[in-house]
Amino acid sequence: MKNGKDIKTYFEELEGLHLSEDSRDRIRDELSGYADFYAPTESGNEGVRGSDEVRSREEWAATDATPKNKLTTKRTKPMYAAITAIVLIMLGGGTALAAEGSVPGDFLYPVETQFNENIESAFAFGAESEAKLQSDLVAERLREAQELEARGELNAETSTTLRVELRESFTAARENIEELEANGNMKAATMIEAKLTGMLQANSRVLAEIDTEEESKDAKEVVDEIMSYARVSASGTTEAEAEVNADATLEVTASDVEELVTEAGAYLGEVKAELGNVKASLSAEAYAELESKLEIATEAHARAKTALSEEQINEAYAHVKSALRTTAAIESMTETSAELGIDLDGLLEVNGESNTSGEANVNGESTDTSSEANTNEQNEKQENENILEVNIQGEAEANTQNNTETQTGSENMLNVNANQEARIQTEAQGSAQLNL
Amino acid sequence: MKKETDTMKDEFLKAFEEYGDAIFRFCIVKTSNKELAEDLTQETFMRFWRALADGKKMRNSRSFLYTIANHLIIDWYRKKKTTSLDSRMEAGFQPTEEKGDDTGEPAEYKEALESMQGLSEGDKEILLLRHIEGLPPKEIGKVLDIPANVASIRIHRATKRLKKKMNI
Repeated sequence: MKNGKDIKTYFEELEGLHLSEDSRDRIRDELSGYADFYAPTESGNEGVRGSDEVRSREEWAATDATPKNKLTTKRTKPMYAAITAIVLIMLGGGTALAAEGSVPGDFLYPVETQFNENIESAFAFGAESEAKLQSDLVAERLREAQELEARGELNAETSTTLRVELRESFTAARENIEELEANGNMKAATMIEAKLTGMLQANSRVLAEIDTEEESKDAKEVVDEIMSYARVSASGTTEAEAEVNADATLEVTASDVEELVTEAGAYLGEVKAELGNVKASLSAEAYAELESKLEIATEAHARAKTALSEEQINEAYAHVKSALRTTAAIESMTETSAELGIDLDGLLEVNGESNTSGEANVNGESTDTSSEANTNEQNEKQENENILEVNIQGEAEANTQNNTETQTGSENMLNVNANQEARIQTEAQGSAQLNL
Repeated sequence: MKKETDTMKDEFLKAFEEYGDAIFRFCIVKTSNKELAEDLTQETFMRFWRALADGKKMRNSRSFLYTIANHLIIDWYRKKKTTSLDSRMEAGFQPTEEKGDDTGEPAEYKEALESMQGLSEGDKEILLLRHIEGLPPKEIGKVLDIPANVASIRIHRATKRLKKKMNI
């Protein structure tokens, strides 16, 4: 299979895969029995998706359950899904509702992830909605991680559950973003990707926590993969993007950027309003941090606007992406703290860090203005500083693993920031996690 | 009505004879587990029958079957990943370790399957649909719910990656 054989031969071999005679006969018999049992309906027009009539729960339960009990003698995974569905339908959906908001370890958690979310997925058509949905699921998993951690229940077992789910949604989100890019839908791809990245960055600490709790190769792999995505894509060069750029036909257009700038503005407004709403539940310090981060986002947005008016499309694109990411990070942090009542202890470090990097960026910005290459470079620099690894490292060094020492931790981090910057360039990203 | 039902059933079983292997291949390439692939194949046809029995009109049975199978596999992966390692081991689902051995196919198929193991799910399915089942990009697009030109791009990239992997 190595050299010498061409793809055609390879596929011809695969083509030889078929059902064994025994299996074929068995399946055929079962299908025949199933067909007899589940006879066509009189009206010939009800049930399954796309029909006008809606079947009653009892009918669904009856049609679904009986043939399976009767015919399926083997253990089939799909069968469990059907049974779960029937049970849930009979319970009238209350369980599904109750399951929303459950976290790993809760009794109803499998209902949330296997049933509720699959149903959502069944209604998500196309890459854009799927990408959005999967990004939301990533966010949901991270929110759960935060909640578990706040409850002191983030252990090896719950981490594993989260990690497998996280990877799945993350991979799906990434693939769909890639698809959007391939399809030339740069606007949607950028929106979703920037939000995903920002959200991942805001949750870097809890991500690292998953890795630490689980201490497995798999966990490290997933966390590394996600973190490197947050880092790499933040600097604007994911594999997908590189490929897209190489394809040259799929470049971002002025109208894409224009729309992105408009949407980023609206998004900023929303998040700002949200932050105002939850102000009371945040500590003054946390609020100040989030607000200053908001200023950075606003500034990036303003720069994107300016660049756009000067027809510096690529520069505007870089700025608007940065604005979107920062906004998404703020949104994520605001939600986490407001929903869970977590005082932004851990999150603050992310904040403090980004804040300084923002300032550094402003300085850099004022010296060199419009060159495309410079913009990218700055962008990359800013993002590097933004990245979680930096924070994690800062945390490990300055914070002596104690979350309650946030204030001093943040201050120390500001001091070590300069050193870190040099080190980050050279150190492999994974090593930061090893330090933990 | 009775007669009509019988004709329908015959058509249905004929569809199984005709496409059973193709669906099985699709499932085994994506799951690397013979028994599971058989179950998924059976479930796919059961759902296909339900759609037929409920009077759903379909223009292309073949791509409809792939679509069902694809969704079942996606669901299976979702569930698989949520179960603990222990329960997975009890249930005997360990695709990475079972690959090859469990397919009960001659050695060269095992090898063929293994070459595919390193590829992403997306690559596997699209290569299979295009090169083995010979579906045109437009049909693949329907099965995977993506536009035809996206399917073309994916096919191109997946083929490139496979070639690279096989050093050819």
